[in-house]
This record gives sequence, structure tokens and C-alpha cells, in this order.
Amino acid sequence: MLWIALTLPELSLQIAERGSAASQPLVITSGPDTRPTVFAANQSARLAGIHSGMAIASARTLANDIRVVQRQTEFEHDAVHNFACWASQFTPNVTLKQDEGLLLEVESTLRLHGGLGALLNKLKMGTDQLGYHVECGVAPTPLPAWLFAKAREQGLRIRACTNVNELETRTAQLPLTLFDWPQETLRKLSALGITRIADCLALPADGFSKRFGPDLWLDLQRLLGRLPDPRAYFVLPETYLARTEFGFEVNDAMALLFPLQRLLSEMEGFLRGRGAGVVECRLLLEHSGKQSSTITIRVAKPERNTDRLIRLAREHLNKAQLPATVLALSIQVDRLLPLIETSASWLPDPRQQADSWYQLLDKLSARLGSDNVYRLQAVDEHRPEQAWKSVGVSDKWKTISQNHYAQTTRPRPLFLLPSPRKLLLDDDMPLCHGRIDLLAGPERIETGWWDGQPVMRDYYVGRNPYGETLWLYRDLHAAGNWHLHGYFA
Amino acid sequence: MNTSIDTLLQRPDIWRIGQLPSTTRTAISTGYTALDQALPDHGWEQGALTEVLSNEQGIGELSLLMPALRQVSQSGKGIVLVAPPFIPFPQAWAAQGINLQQLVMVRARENDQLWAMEQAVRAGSCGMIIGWAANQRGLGLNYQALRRLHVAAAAGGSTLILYRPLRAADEASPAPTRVTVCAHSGYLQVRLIKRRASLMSTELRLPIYPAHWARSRNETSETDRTDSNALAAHQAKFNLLPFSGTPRPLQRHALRG
Repeated sequence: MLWIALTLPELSLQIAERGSAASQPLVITSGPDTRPTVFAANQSARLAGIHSGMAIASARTLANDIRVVQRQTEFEHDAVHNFACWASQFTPNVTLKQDEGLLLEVESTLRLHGGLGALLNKLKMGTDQLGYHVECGVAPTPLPAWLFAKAREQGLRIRACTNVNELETRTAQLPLTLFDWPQETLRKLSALGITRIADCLALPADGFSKRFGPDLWLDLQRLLGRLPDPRAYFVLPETYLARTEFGFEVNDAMALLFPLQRLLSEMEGFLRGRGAGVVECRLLLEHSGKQSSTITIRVAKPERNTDRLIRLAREHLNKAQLPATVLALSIQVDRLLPLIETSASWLPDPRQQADSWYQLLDKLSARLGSDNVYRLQAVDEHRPEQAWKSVGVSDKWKTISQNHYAQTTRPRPLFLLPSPRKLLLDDDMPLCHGRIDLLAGPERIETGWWDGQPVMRDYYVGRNPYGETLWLYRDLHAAGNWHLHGYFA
Repeated sequence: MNTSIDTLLQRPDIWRIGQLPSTTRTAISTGYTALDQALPDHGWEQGALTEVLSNEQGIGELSLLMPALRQVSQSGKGIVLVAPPFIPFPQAWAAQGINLQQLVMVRARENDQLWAMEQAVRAGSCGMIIGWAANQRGLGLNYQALRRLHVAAAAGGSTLILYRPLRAADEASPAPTRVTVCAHSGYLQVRLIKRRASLMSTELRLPIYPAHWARSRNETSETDRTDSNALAAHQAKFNLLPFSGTPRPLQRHALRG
């Protein structure tokens, strides 16, 4: 087993900050309404001298442009829940650590992701995209992984540990405060001069259990992998809901794209984990004054790709008229559909491509009628009108050697008029937007007595003053009549 | 202030002048060296809408695409023509090396044309889709519609070429590449009015037709026409016009005097 712990340090700050790219001094408050205190302060607020525990009034005196956000634990709860949904794309075995982070069991999916290093990179890049900052700890059992991540939060340099026998030496110097043991116990231990895990382990087992309760001793045993540490895995939900609150008013619909991108990429992770896609996704915009509006994004086939969804959302937001400024944005999906993603192979799969080509032709003929989706086949015939025929896309195709045409030296226009157009004459010369200069010709095309449509024509290549290169003929049956028959487009 | 500019620059339809073309974009070579060099991706961009604007028929506007179409066809991919204004003459297309079996025409009413184009580009299985919007009078090809097509092209990765009338040059368009074409003394004058990574428009002259068709007689005949001998002079030219390089003998039936 190999576990990766992901902790979300100062989650309340992260939630408040991920709605926008800009960074301004921000504090999270908690405590009674009458005297709120600073629960957490971000980097720029800390630089101004604000620290946690400070009264909000005194924080304001230090920095007057701070943004103050009330801490809401249910948001943190939801955020960790959605984060777990996102992480399910890396492994089905995700354990949720209440409001603090996740534990992922990755042994079984390590090869899929190309090894531990590659997986950690993916996690890092993925979380950056979501706007979260995480600390990772890697260990063969869940508890030390978690402690490693917590230790990294405190700035300790911890390397990944993959060997269960090394756990004892690797954890020996970690402070006991990393455990979520009761404060009272920790204080008692530190009063006794026991601050590190090694100090605890040096104590006699039964004495330690008797004095501090058996749970702590069991924790230490689990830490070293001497006792089993089973975890309940997170079960992915059937529907999806994610919400982000900006903490300020957004006027421009396009400015919603940035937070939306984050929400959608979180959803993409969830859908990957579920092996699913969506055909309909609702964006709920919460406006000031308790109004709300909904934008529904629909796609033809199940989709989960963030880029494609964001493109659609952009179109919708582009034309959306916001009734009021936006305070919060949520996405909601009620129905998940199975999605089989095309293989991300480097070489294209020709069969798949052919399939989609025929699917396309089917789709076009289904709506437009099979007569209106057609191919043109060359017929071995000298009269241009009879030299082609229209063939339906599902009809049998008679292949004529490509060389047959390549050897033809006679000029043939790319575009043929459905029927020859009679040209006006000026001094016996044909006119088409002015006089036509004849560039090449004549080419005699004649006879057709066998089907009652005889022709006798001299074909020329001509150019009119517009520079249009025409294929025209002089009808020798009705002498002096000129007709336009095609364009050398 | 800077951040809002940065946000703007995130948009895929906005790019900086001089920004190097992304290596992730691919293109089909146009087959004309000068044009390839002028285009930022060295060819017709894949996964994008490209507009070709012209008012004339038969100035070589389709021949402009022929080398690219030939490549597409030879790679085994399909080509879809949505509402071509005339009949694509199979003999001529085949002579250009196009596999007729993979050349599909779509005839549709105006509002279905957009739908068909969108479906075709979105499917991603076509090598190239060519649409004619020149005869769309009732249904304006507005910015939204074009953008929709462009987005669909980006999703499907196909090359979409749209023929539009010249007056569309004055309208905004989401297409990253727009060219106007017109005839100029037997050459096709291609003017790149919009392309990625460059503000300057460029003009190129491409030889489309055989060399002996290129010399236009219109310039000389301007003066001739005023002359009373114009007709005679004109007729005299007739029989000296060979199809291929070698002159053909005079033929008596060419014109009766």
C-alpha cells in the first residue's frame, strides 16, 4: 500500500481566494458577531502585521483595504467533498479527512499514472489549476502520510517514504503536535519533556496507555504499521454541485469565466473518476438582492472536457444579460452519462476516424434528405452535361482509375454550370461583364446522335474584364450563339 | 489595470502582434511557397475558420485551395463542400488528384447550411470543409454564427474555408486568417487582410493558370476597342491560342468573319 496525504492548509482562506486571480489583503473572521476575531490572514494581510486571534477592528487599523470574510465551516466541508470528487480520477480509494484534506491510496494506480513522481506532479498541477494549495505526504500507511503532510505545512522538509521498515526512523523526530490528539494531553506530554514521537516510543507501553489512554498508544502502533489502519473510502455522489462565492461583486459576465474554469476542471476530475460525461450542465448565478439566474449549457454527446465546456459557457456568457452584479456562481449537474473517451494514443485510430466520417454523412443525410448529400462520379462521356452523375453516399461507387483524368490535357473547369448560359453578343463577340478575351481554344466537342442530344460546339477558355476565367463555347448548330458553361475557379 | 489586460490576453481570440505562433497549431500547406511563408502556420490552419473573400467567380479562388485539397484527399480524409454555387465538374477535380469518392457535396437551405458546416467541422473526420456564404442573402452570416463555426472547427480540428463576398471584409470576424482574392493580369492576387501574429496585410500574386493563359489581353484591347480594326485584330488572335504550350494550326470554323 502507498498513501498520499493531501492537506489543504488554511482552507478557509483558499476558498475565499480561489474565486479570482487578483490577490488583496484578506482575513477570515470567526467568533461571536459582537467581537469577531481574525481566524486566518493571507500573505499580504500578514505582511501588514495582521495575525490570527487579533480583533477585526485592530486588523482594520493596520490595513484599511482588507477584505473581510466570515468563516463558514459548511463551505469548507463542501470544498473538501468536491476536492475528493476531483481526486477520484487518480484512484478509486479516496479517504476524506474531515475539513482538512484527503488520503489517497495509490499503490494500485501507480503504474497507470507513470510512477509516483509523475503522479505527484499531476496532483500538483491539478490542484494549481483548481486554485488550491496543497501539501503532500507519502508513506506506506495512512497516518504517517498525513503527519508528513502536516509537517510540511509547518515548513519541515520531509521526503517521501515508501518502505514500511523505515517508518520508525523517519517519524522519530516529528513533533507530537502533528497528531490530532487532545490539547490537554499534548500539554501534559510537553510538560514532561516528551515532544517527539521517538520520546513517546521510548516509554513503556503499558505505563503510557494507562496514563494517557490506550488510543494514543494505538495511534503510535498504527503509525509504525504494526496495527492495521483500515479507512472508509469515499463514495462518489450521483449528482454534482459546486459553488464558489466571490466575496465581492462581479459586473462583467466574462469575469465569471475564471472561477468557472476552476469549477469545471474540478468537475472534470470527478467525471473522470466516474467514467462519465454530462450533456447538460446548469450555471446558477446568484445576484445581489437575492436574485438568481440560470444558464444551461447543453452538448450533443456526453462531454467532460473543461476546455470545450468553457468555450460553450463563454458563448452563453457573452450574450447573457446580467440583471445585477454576481456574488456567487455554482454549477449543477443532475444526470451523468457514461462516456468512453477516445484513446489518447499518439497515432490516430483510422477505424475510429472512418466511423465518425460515416456517422457524419448519416447525420447530414438524416436531416437534409439523402438526395441532398451526394457525391459526383465521372462518366466516360465527351459531352460535359452527360459526363457526370450524382451518386448517393450510401450507393455503390464505381472507381475509375485516377490516371484516366490525369492524362487529359484538355482544360476542364472546376465548376460547371448546371446548364449552359446564353451570352449576349456585341459584334458577334460574347459578352460577360464586358468583352471576353479568348485565351485558348477551340476544342471541338460534337455528336451525340445516339441519345437524341447531339451537340456541335467549339469550346474556348476566355477571360472577361473582371479577370474571371470562363469556359465558353460557340454553338455550331445555331451559329453565332455563345454560351457560358463553366468557371475555372 | 495590468491584470485586466492579462485576463483579456487569456482569451483565445485575442493575441498579441508579433506573438510567435503556437507550436500546437497545425496547418495544411497551401502548396504555394510564397503563401506558406506569409501565413503564420505555413499553411491553412487546422482547427480554425479561414475566410476567402471575393466577388468574382472563376478567378482561381478554388484553385487556390487545390494543392491543399489534394494533400487532404491523398491522406484518405474526406472533403465536404457545403452549397457549392455550381456543379463541381468531376473530371476537373479528379485531374487535380482529388479522390471523388471522398468528396461529398451538401445541398441545403440557407439555415441548414450553417448547421451542416458546423456538424462537418465538429465531427473532426473531414480533412477540409468548404462553405459558400456568398449566396446567403437572407440569412446574415453574423459574428455569432461565424464564431460558432470557428469554435466548432477548433473542437473538431478540421480546416474550414468559407467563401464570402468582398464586402464582408469590413465586418468583424472571428476567423484568424482572412484573405481577399481578386484577379490581376492573369494572376490571382491574394491579400492577407488578417492573420495571426501580424498587423500588416500582405499581397501576393500566385500563378494559377498555365503560363500561356496568364497574359491578359484586356489591357491591350482597351485601346484596340476604340479602333475600327478592333474586331479584326481580335479575330486574328483566336486561332493562335493553344491549350498546351504548342501552337495549334488554324481552324477554319473558329469564327466566321
